[in-house]
Parts: sequence; C-alpha cells; structure tokens
Amino acid sequence: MSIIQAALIASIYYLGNATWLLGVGYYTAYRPLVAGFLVGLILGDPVTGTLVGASINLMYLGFISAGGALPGDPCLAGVVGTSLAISGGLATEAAVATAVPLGLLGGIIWVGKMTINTTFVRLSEKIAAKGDANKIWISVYGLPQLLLFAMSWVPAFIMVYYGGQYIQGILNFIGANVLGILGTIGGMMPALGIALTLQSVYKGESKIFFYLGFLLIQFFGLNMISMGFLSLAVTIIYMQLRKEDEVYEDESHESEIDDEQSRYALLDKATVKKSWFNWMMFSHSCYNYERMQGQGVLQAMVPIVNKLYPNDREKRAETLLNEMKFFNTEPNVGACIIGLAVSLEEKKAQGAEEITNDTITSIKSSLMGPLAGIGDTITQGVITPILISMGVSIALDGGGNIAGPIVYIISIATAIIGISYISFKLGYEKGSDAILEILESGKINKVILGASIMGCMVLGALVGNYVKDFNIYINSYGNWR
Amino acid sequence: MKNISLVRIDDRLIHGQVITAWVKVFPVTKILIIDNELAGNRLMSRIYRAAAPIGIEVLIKNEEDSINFIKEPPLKNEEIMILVKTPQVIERLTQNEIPISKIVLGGMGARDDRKRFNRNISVNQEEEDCLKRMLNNNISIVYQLVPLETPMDLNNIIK
Repeated sequence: MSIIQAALIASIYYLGNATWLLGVGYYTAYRPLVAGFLVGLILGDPVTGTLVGASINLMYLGFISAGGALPGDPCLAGVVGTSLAISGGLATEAAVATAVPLGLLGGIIWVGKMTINTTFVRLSEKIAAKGDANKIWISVYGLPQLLLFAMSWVPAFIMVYYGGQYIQGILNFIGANVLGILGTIGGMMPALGIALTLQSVYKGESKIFFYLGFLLIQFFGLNMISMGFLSLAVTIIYMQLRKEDEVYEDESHESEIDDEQSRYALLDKATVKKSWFNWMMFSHSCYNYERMQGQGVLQAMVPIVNKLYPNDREKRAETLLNEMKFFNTEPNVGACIIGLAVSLEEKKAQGAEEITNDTITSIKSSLMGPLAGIGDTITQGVITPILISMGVSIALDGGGNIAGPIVYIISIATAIIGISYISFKLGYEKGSDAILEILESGKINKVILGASIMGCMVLGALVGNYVKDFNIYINSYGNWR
Repeated sequence: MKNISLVRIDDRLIHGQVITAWVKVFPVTKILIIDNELAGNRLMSRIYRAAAPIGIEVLIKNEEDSINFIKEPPLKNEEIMILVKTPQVIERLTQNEIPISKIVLGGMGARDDRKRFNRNISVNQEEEDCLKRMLNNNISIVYQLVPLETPMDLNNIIK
C-alpha cells in the first residue's frame, strides 16, 4: 500500500466522524458497509472492500449511540479491518474478528475528543460575549475539526499503513490455530449483531414478519432486492388493514404560548433555511461533555442573530450566550426544537414580553429529552437497521455487489436529511402545539410499528441468507477444525 | 413496597439512553418521574407521556405522592424505574424509609452554578455533598450512561 492510499483511507475514518458530509457522515461513511466500499475503491478492489465491509457491518447492525455514549467504533473497525483484509490478505472472517478490538480502541478516541472539545466552549463564550457572530465558526467547527483530524486521521493512518506491512508477519507468528479461532469468532459475530437489532424491532405484532421474511428467502428463493420491495408492500397492506388504536386525548388543549402569526416577520425563508443547514451540518462538530450539542445550537443561531440584530452587538451577545447552554437531543427528529427556538427568538426580537431568555432555555431543555427518546428510536433504532440490513444483504448476496453500499448511502441520506428539514420547518412554522399534537396523535407509534414490521421481515430474510452463507462457509472450510 | 428495578439520576429524564438501552435491560412496566416542579406542569406531563415507549406507563409525581405511591403494595408484574433530576430527591426518599441500595448516575448538565466533575456530570456544592452523604450511608452509586458501559464507582471519582 502506498503512503497516498493509506492517507486517503485514514481520511475516510476522519470523514466518518467529521461534520463535513452534510452532517450525515455518522449515517454513511461511519458504517463499515460504506467505509469498506470506499477503502476498496482506494485500493482498487471495491468488490472485496464491499464484501468485507458488509461482513464487518453485520455485527454492528444494531449499533446505537445515544446521548454521547459510544458502544464500540464501527467506523474504525470497518476502515482498518477492510484495509487489512485487502492489503494484508486477511480472510474476511479473521478481519471481522480483528475489527472488534479496533472498535473498542475507537471508544478511547471518542472519550478523548468529548473531553478536549470542552476547551473550545470557553473560546466560544469569549467570541459570543463580544457578539462576533461571524467568528463563531472558529470555535464551533474550525478548531474542533482540526483536533478531530489529529485524533482520528493520525491513528488510522498508522494502523492502516504499518498494519498492512506487518500484519502478515504477525499472522505467521500467531499461527493457524489462533487464526482458526479468530475465523470462528468472526463467523459468529454477525449473529450477535442481528440479535441486537432484533431487540429493537422484534416485539408484539411484528414478530410473525420475521418468520415470513425467513421463509420467503429460504423456500421461495427471492433475492434481496425483490424482498425489499415485497416487505414494503406487505407493511403498507398490514398497516391499512389494521384497526385504529385509540388515540390518547387530553381534555383540554390549552396553549402555553400564543404561537400564531409572527412567522417570517423579521426573518426570511433564506435565513431560516440557513439556520437549519447550520444545525444539520454542525450539531456534532464540537460535541463535548460539558454542553453536548450547545455549540451546534450556537452555530444555528448565527444567521438568526445577524438578521434580528444587525446593528446591536449587545443583543447578539446576549442571545448567543443564552443559546449555547447545555443541549442534547436526537439531532434530526429533534431539529424541531431548534426551529421552535428560532421562532421564539424572532418573537422576542419583536418585543414579546412573555418570552425571556429563560423561557427559551426551559422550553428547549424540556423538549430535548423526550425527542431524543423518540428520535433515537426512529432514526437509529429502526430506519438505519432496516436500510443497512438491506444494503448489507444486497452486498453479501452478490458476493460484494457495490449496489449494496450505493443504495444504502442514497436512501439513508435522503431519509435523514428529509426528516431533519421537515422537523425543523414544523418547529419553526407550527410551534410547540404542533409538535405535541404529533407526539400524542399516535402517528409516531404507527411509524415505529410499520418500520418494525419491515425491519423484522428484512432481518428474517437476512438470517435466511446468512444460514445459506454459513452452510457454504462450513463446506468450503471442510477441514476448519 | 413497590418493586423498583432501577433508580437513575439524569436531568433529561426520559431520553434516548433510557428508551433505546435501559428499558431493554430492565423491562419495566412503569417509569416514575419524581419532580415537584414537573408534577404540576400539565404540558410537560403530556410531552413525557407521549415520549414513552409502547407498553410503558409514565407517572409524574411530586415527592410526597411518590413516597406514598412507592409504599403501596406492588401490583402483579409491576416493575418500576425511578428517574429524578437531582440526588437530593433520592436522599429524601431514603429519609422516608424507602430502602435504596443502588443509584445509577446518568447525566447532570452544566449550569452556571455547577462545576464539571466527571464527563457529562456537573454538580454544585449542595449536590456534591448530598452524593457524599449517600455514599457514606453505604448506598452504591455508579456512573454509567448505558448498560453496555462498565459502571464506574463514584467512590473512585469523587475523592
């Protein structure tokens, strides 16, 4: 492997963690399916890259990072595991097994980053206190992303570049027995990944669909793509036939704050969109233990304060300092909170006396928990596992079919960015009552149920496929004991 | 006395870690939020109820009602997770003869009056003293965001 190749591969690890991919790096390059494909492209063998990446991804199907806790690091496992498999000639199963400890190592980088990022909060405070909104980027993503580069790119480069050179020697040293064990462990890991994912979706009325998916693959020999469309159709049919749940009705719908009028009064559509874009892009660019996403909110407020208080430095400072307080939610479903905060800032600037800085803070912090719960369930708990299971299955089914990662990237990016945009707009234009109405209408639970049904079917199909692969695996390793 | 599976301090109360991780490991039927302020806030009660996963009932009660409620005999299959925002609430439960042997510390966000203390935990003097008092009373307190994470004993952090 050349230095340039290793440098490019290390950049994938950086990008998976960084903020630059429209804020969806965590959903794309961070996943071994995608990372493996990209590493393969760089090393001139995208098919093997996809195959190895998909295999490693199997054990991270149920990966959820909630509220700043990181269970392993699929990105490092995907990037380094795949490059060792291709450049070091490591068998796929052995690469999967070596990827596990790498994933744990990634956790150390994560804690380090979350800790050091706190220092940039101090800088943000200084800049915000002067009302220099246009300089905030330095401490929100300029410096933190440089730090991230140093903390992620450098170790990945060392592992990929030197690992590839020495892995063969290491493998010769540890010998065939240990490799056999690694291979067996690697072969079992996907079952764990699938089981963890099932924990989120396999419940109640969706259970039967898991077996349906398994049957269709095993006995009817459908391929994964037709399986995907079929499960979508079956889910829709089921949801249409299903009896409506009783909707929880509160006797009164009193409004806490009068939300009508006043949208797009001082702000124009372009400014609101810019604020959303900043949130989408930078919500996690300086994720830290002290304020969590406070820095992201700060960046989202930059276009807003510039528009509301173009000539009032003090007002800008006051607003920015208030908006950068502790905040943590699921950033996409929870984008409505930022939209709502923007509309409250607009009303405050119009002179509404009932809205103080404290009101805004308390509304934000009361919504952030519940929406994180719902949001994590929707985006990380159901949408991602379904789409990535599809992607992984397509990839494995075709022995490294690159359509797997490509279909996954397009579908997940559309879904996540779409959710974020719609949610932000809802929060800004319709306000807190609309958010609450949706929460209580049972629509969210319907979406989760529908997605769980589809998820069960796809996972059933995946297990069906996996059993097939496992037979081949045992046969081809006839003397594996 | 009700069956309590988990007592957790976390000022975001119900959120991603609780819903995607804790309730899977502790399959409770009820989540009891003890907070004097929230108990009187109908809007927030609605939000938290709407945010709960299917099959879990959310109760939001003030301290006095909570104490009486916990002392009631358990219903069949009833398992409860207690969520509070600050350690003082739990201390008052123990002072009212509710035995609590283990507390999980999940998150206490930074505020003006709080100093950062460990990762995402910030405390003010009063809260720190309260945690120390409970440790001295042989209540085990661990810092743990999600069940998969290794719990850290607060005794080793607070010194």
